[in-house]
Amino acid sequence: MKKLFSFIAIILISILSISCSTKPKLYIVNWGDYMDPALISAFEAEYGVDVEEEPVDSNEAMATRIQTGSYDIAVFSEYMVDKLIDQNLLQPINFALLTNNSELTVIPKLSSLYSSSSIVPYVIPYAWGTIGIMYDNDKPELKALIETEGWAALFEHTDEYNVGMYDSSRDAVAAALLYKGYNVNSDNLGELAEAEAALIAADFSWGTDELRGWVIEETLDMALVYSGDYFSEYYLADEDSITFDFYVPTTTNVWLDSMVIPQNAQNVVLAHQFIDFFLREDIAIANSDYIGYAPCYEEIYNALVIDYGYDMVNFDPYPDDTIRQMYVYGTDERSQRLTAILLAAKNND
Amino acid sequence: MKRLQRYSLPYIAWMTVFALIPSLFLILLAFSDLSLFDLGSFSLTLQNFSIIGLDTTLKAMQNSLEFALITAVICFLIGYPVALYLTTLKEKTRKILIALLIVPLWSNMLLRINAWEKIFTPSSIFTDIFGISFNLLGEDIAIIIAMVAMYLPFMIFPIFSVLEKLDIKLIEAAKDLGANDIQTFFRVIFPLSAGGIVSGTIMTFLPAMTAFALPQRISLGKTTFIGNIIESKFRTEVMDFNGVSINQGSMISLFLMLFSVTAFILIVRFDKEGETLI
Repeated sequence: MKKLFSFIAIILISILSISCSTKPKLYIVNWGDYMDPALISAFEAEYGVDVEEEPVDSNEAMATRIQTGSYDIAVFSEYMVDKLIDQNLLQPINFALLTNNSELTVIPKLSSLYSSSSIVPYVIPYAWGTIGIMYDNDKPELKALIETEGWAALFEHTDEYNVGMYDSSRDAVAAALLYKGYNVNSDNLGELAEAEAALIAADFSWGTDELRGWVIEETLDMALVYSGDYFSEYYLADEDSITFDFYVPTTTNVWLDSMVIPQNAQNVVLAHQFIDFFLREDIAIANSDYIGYAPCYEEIYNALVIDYGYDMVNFDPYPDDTIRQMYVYGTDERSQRLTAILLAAKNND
Repeated sequence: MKRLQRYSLPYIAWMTVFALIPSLFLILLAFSDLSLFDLGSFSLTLQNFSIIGLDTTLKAMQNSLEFALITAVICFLIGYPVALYLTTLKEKTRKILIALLIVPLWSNMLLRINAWEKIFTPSSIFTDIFGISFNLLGEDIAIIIAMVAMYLPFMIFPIFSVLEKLDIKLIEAAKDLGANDIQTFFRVIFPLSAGGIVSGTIMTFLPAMTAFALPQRISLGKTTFIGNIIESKFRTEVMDFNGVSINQGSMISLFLMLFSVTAFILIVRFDKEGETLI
């Protein structure tokens, strides 16, 4: 059997390598449209290399990619970095190879959320944001409802409104825990049971990337979405005809996407050069302006707000007088409990 | 004949690499604790079988079977008269009508699903033009309408191809022997088209049962099919279960394959020449 596999592998590899040019190649696995292609081209030109970028649509899909293939750079969210370190799938960043990192300061509030975590030696923060409620603002009463009730608006009005919930165990349970006033990382069985009951009692529509579209076309009145999802629609939409808005409750979860280097990367030095390139202040500013999510560094953040006129209120994932939490992976047992809760919630009709 | 045999080699190689080996691998994964990402030693186990008995799996299986059955029945009720009608037409008109049935199949299924989703939204293109709002997303009826639209041609074609080849002399004989139209239909035409009906039913039932994109989009994620469970086993649960979800997903897939194999055996029994398979 093993022989057969290596035979097939050899054939596939040789087919793939025929099409390769002689330039060194950097393989990136990334979320779709999450890095300015013009800047990637600039890097290719400056270093005389080819960059191959493969898009994925979830942390889970990205994890599968780095397990089955060899990539030099990936962009993961914090909880998955946590798990991948555990699985020995990432290598620590060699900070000595980076020249621009010391020029930048991670926004202290963001830093406080993960500075004591084991992910620090492995990550170069890339973008951050929150989860919140995207809603149809053609219905004036909805805005008032969501702003007074916060998370309860999602859970307690599914009879009157069409409400969308994120079809991911971690996010759906986190929303329910926040609604009940608990920490998003709670592993207290009683609290999780309350969260499960809340998810089961509500009559949700379930989706991931579809949710924002459903809110925009008014199939749904409100839905749990990532701030990033909202922003990408907001920038796309015609300003005069925007019929949706986004509300971030006082207590919510913060996500942090970071560049990481997989354990089996082939071009480790080039990967560091790539990271360093995107930490160059002008490049980082241009890239953040392209992707439109909050940058993780004070210098870049200030430049965007002051020089580019980004809307402070909308843009800051962690304003004063708010409470922010951040996912940790936790144990496999907890993750499996979350999966069971999601299945039970979806199964109920 | 022997000389021609070697021309089938590319096909055999293709099927071995992309169908036979993956299927064997699926069986191995289903009945072992082999880790897909870390191929090495493994032991055989029946542990993955427990996933079949979970409430959530059974409920999804029930949803799949129910919706597929309803879809197949409706497709038959609509499809049979259409197939019969097609046989009565002149060659030219018939060709045009058949083209109208086939051409939509050339567009990607996801596009057609997306189109139905847009039609069912509260404010669709129909609302703009005619002032009609279907607002059916999330309703069971929406899934059924979309599925029937999606799979109806697969019911019509096998029945049509059987009816078309029906020996006209048999019908004339029935009439000579004094049967009226209704008797002729139920005692001659219908029994003789059984092969087409079986093929058509299977070709609508199976894809409807294994659908996952359609229920996800059209039901707004409210109705879980068995395909959605398999999808999440292979896509989202892998890390949380340290790869075991892949073995569980393989077990469920294998379970579904049993249906396909049974269906194939049924088709072969009813339609020995394979004339209804297109």
